[in-house]
Amino acid sequence: MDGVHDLGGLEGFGPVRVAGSDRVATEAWELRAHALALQAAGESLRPWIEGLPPAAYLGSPYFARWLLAVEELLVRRGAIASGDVARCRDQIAAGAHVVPRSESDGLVALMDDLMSTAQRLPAPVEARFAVGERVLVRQGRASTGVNRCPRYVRGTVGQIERICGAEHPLDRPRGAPAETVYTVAFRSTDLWGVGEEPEFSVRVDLTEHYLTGADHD
Amino acid sequence: MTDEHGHEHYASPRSRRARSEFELRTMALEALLVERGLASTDAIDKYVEYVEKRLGPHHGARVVARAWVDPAFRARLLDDGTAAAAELGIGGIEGARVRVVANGPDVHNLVVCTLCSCYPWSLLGAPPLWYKSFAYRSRAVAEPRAVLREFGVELGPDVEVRVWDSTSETRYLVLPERPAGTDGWTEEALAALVSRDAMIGAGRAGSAC
Repeated sequence: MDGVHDLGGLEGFGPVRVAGSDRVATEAWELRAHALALQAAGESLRPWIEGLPPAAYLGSPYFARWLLAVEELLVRRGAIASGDVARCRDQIAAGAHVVPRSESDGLVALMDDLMSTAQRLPAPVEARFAVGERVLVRQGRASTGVNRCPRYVRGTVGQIERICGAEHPLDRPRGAPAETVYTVAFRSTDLWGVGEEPEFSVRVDLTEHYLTGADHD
Repeated sequence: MTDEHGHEHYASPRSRRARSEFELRTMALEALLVERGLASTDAIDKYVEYVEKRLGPHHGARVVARAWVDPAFRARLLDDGTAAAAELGIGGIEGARVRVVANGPDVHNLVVCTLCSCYPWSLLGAPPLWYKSFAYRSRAVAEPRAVLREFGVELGPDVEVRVWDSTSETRYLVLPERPAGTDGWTEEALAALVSRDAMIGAGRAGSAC
């Protein structure tokens, strides 16, 4: 969806480097929240993260967004009831509930798969555009599924820099055929106009259905 | 010393710091899912240990150092980063499709993910907070030189800046320039010069002096 997660080119977020910003995961709960989300979701959490209310998205640190997203998914799926987490949280805060220990070969195997093997990507499919060709990024809102075409490149002409291989487009229903992914190079002047910085390029990876021929189609 | 309930994985209840709201919610969700058999603490522990102990920028630094001493490896690395890293036994989470882009005297590369925080975990470990910040995600594609200046990287006006927005399954790693004065250094010594930030493009490999 076209949500607040699509941040490229927005202004007002201040400096990149602030006190403590060189750290990786800062608190013990963060990687546990990540692991929980990866384990319990059973599907991509991207649509759920993008679907968080804007204030929640902007007000939560990275791993908290995973936590909120998987909570929402599990409530919608009926695996937990709305209010369960808040109730359990209050009991834990009061010392009246503890996190139990458990073992599961199946879930360990699921995590092993995630950690040790590269995710399987689809075999290459026929590519409609060639390296060097000029392409125009289609206009349109990303209302279905996940948005992998940033707003800042839509309606802009770029040049195919590389054919990356094939992927299943994340904004299409599950089981949709794989498409070629292209690295498309854009000139900064085409994206932002002439600015204070010398011209530079931005390269964005886009699946084929986002693109149309710029010179003939 | 661990207590029997697994609380050692969170901030100690005896510590003076109050548990944060997100920590409590994580504990609550963990408890609920473990009780329902939808998550297991051994699988969570295994993941946390993997990220904290096994992953890290030292893997990326080994790849960079090898590329500096071995031109044939460098060529293979730039052609297919996944396969070249696998030659050194390096792979894993988020490492299915790795592309390595080389800095040079006239080109400087910078990696970002404006839509989420995609990052080459198999080579660099989990990303630093600044990489995930809204400031970096919004600014890197619009004013890369201003961002680089915050990291102390000042580029001449003729250097071509290329920003890579990680919007697909490809994960990007920057091959920094080999510092001058390091002829004859061992791969191990060279790897020690390669910082995480340099492999994102937000820094340079350390100089010999």
